[in-house]
Amino acid sequence: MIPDRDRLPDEGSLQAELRGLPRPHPPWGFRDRLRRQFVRDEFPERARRPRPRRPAWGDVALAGGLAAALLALGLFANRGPSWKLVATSGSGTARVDGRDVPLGERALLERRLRRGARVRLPAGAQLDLELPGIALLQMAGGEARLPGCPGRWFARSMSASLVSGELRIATGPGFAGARLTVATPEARAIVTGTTLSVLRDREASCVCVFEGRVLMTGAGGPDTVRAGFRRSVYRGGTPPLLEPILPMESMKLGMLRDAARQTLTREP
Amino acid sequence: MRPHPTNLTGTRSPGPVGELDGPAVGNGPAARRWPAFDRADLDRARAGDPEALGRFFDHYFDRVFSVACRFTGSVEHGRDLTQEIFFKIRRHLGRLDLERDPAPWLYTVTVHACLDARRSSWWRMGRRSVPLDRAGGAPALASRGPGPEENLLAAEDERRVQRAIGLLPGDLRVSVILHDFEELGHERIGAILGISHAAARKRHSRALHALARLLREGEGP
Repeated sequence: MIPDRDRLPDEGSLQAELRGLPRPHPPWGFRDRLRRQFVRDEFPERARRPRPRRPAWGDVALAGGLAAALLALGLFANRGPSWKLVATSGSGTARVDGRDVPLGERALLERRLRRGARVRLPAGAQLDLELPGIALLQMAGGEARLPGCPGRWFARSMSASLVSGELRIATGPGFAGARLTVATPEARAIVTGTTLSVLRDREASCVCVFEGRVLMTGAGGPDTVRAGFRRSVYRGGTPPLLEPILPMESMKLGMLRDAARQTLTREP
Repeated sequence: MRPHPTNLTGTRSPGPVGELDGPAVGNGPAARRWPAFDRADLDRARAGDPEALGRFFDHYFDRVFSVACRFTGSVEHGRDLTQEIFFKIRRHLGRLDLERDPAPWLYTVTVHACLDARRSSWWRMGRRSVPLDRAGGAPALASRGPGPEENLLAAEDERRVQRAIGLLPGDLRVSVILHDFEELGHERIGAILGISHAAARKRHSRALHALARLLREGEGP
């Protein structure tokens, strides 16, 4: 029951007013004409034509499915290339996404090294990887998560992480407009096209820039590291240190840069 | 017993709701009391007997036309909608259950046709058409009062109320039309709309509140 206090004071009179209104009268001749049509079952085309109605659930589902298929197609077409294993060195067993893969089994290793794969290498082992036309990546020892690949037209950011060991990266022409973030526990290096390495040991994370510039964030605030310098961010409050890049690292990065120029710029 | 026919909008018809015909609930004018439709006639109408079909039409035409006109607020569109509803009724007449009163099913078909029409572009265009009180409905007003002034006031009242009804959302509008114009009880309205008795009561109460508010706003300076 609706309680009386919920009733509008004029509800009764409103209902009386409504009930006092006359029934609408049909236009002259309409009733007789419709009666004839009804009795003879001879309705004009207009009455037979279905009125446009709210789309049925089936139509909505179909439209949704079509939109999802188009979206999936767009996402698929936007996908860039996958990582290609160029070379391995060292011996032992790598661990990729929790599964052991002997470094000697190159085909199996290449299958497992997908975008975003978490890789742990034994000391002294090295993987040389290529995203055709986009970047070369060198991982030496330690543990890292591989970056994905920038989309062809959108979603051109990618990220990697380094827990320990060394990652060297050289970008190619296909990297233009993309962005790579390499995160370590202490710092992040944000790359928009350059040759650099990110090194990490127990004490610190270090970003060595061979070409271009890299924005580095972490302890001590954001800072831009220019070519020829390295910036080390330490654990436990020691201020960051900016120094010239070490000759050995400079040599390794120089070789990677040369390799990138040869492989990433060649015609497919 | 044969199952009650599925209505034309794809939902189940209201099922056994008892006799809708017969003396109306409420204290409306005697003209709104509807005698039950003869079952023998219904059987003959189902079989296609012209005279029985004619009587069936005569029995229900006023109700269907009234709901359609009140809902659309236009005699012109009420007429089109009535034609469409009777076309649907004729298509499915053969499937009507003789054991049950056809009125709930007719109201269900009518209400769903109204709600469907409201969703269509046809309806949006129709909002600019001839209002109920300026077309075929007008002659009814001529006999309402003792003189021309009273008739004019009555016509103005009807226009004001119909305008406010036209501003109600579809479900509230149906509730007012079925309860206050067709004088159906909440239980029967609930069965027609596929909602509970209590929900039908609440919906009608909300509709009256909204209508009163709209009328008050319409009376503003």
